[in-house]
Amino acid sequence: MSAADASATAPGALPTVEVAPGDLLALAQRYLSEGFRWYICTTGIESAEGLEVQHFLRNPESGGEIVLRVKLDALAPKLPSLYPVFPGADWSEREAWEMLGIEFEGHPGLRRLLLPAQWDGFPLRKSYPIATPCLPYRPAAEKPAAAVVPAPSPIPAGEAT
Amino acid sequence: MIAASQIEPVRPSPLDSRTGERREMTLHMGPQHPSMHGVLHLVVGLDGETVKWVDPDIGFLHRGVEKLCETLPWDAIAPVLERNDYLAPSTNSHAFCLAVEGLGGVDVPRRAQWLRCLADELSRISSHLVAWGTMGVDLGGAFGGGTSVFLYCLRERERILDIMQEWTGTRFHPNLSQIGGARYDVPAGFDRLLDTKLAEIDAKLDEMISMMEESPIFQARTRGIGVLSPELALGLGACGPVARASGLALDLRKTRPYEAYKEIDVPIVVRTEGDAYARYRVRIDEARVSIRLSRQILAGLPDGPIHGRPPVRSSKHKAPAGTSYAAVEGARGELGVWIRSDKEMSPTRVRLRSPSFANLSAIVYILPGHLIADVVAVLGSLDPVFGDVDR
Repeated sequence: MSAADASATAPGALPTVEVAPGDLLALAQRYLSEGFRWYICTTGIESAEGLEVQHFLRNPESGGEIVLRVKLDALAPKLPSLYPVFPGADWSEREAWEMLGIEFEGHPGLRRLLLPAQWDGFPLRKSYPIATPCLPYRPAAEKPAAAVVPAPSPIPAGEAT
Repeated sequence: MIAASQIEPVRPSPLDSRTGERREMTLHMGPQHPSMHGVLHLVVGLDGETVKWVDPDIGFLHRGVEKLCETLPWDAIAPVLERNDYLAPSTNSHAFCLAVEGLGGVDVPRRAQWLRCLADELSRISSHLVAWGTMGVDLGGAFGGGTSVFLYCLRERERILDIMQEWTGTRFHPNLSQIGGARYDVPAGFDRLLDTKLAEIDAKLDEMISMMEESPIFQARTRGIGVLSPELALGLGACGPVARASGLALDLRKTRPYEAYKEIDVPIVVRTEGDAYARYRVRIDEARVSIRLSRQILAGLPDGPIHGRPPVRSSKHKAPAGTSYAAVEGARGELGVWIRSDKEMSPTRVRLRSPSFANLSAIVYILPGHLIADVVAVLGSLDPVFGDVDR
């Protein structure tokens, strides 16, 4: 289901496993049960290889690290959310969604995290020039969605395992 | 003068006439609020005085740093990143330089490695002092009157800034790390200066600890408040003093040692309560450890050059292609930088893994059930820096 490549040439590169979007949750569960319980971060990347998402996990006992790398379809970038396994993925996935337009299926509430409500476009895409003029501030006519949607209900400790 | 009988008692929210359930009140705290540690907008759902849910609205300080990094030459990025966690500036550039050096092709002399770690330790002390002082302001009279503890802490922090001024010429953003070395060597007589200043801070720490330990108000407002379980802390990626206060002995200086910490034994301060008091106490004890480590690093400073390559005209630098992740134990926890380089004038992607971001996300889980007055105590104990959260 996954091809461990770890063909990392740079000394600072982390061991990486490439995984298809459909196998991501099962693989994350497996690593969790193997002790990779410490969620580090999630990052969306656009490069010459296209769009991808990388999840960083660490084993707090051994200090070992693993990167789950999911390459995405350029036209419909979509993958399952890691939130059911690691609650910390919530904010990082919201960030990747608004910055790169990557869809996370099963995320409890994909809504804007850092950008203003009326922002247009995905700023971290390479097709978005850094000189794009910023719209002048205008107060939103209605309350932003963040003000009315309650946060996801807390996960009881230990349920993630 | 109002008589006690005239003061309205706290009432629970009114009942909804349709459903018969209590109606929640939504309260917006911030973004301009003195206890929001910068520009946090907390939307709090209240039933009477009890917090039912909380929804943090962040991003008011979002500057697009990750995008900016994709347009800057390699050497110009580190000074920009120092503005992220602006209370412990040298840790930011340190993490970035480690990540670039992790791409290969750059050797860092040992003396430069030790100098960077010394700057990290000093910034940790100053950052923890600010964390302590601002929490004292948030808790109002808990330290025997409003801003007094804040001013005490900032006065002590001045001594660290004096040290940095003597060393690098700037007080706040020392800009010490650069790719392949350190920019400034310590001046002559620096050991005497450091020793005097740190001894002064050390002596005052005792006084401040007793202010905290002997204040029943402070104890009542922080003990058992905002308990974060170790399992949840790991799942959220909590790190630094927040994780260590929940009984997790996680410190990158120990578990993933880099540079000078490979040779120095770093004692990890751990507490098991997981509440606001524990997070707070861990910081104080850590400041003490950092004072000791600073002296130890300076005493063991190796001889040799501080640059691995000529420092001038280095903006022509092209990092080798590849990916690299490096993290330092900043004042707030794991400050990581992930880089992808395609051997261009600028990185293809820079991802900043900021400790405040991960720690702040815990507030959604640990705040419900507490009183509205505990919001500031919990937030202060998480110690977010908004340059770091919003990037």
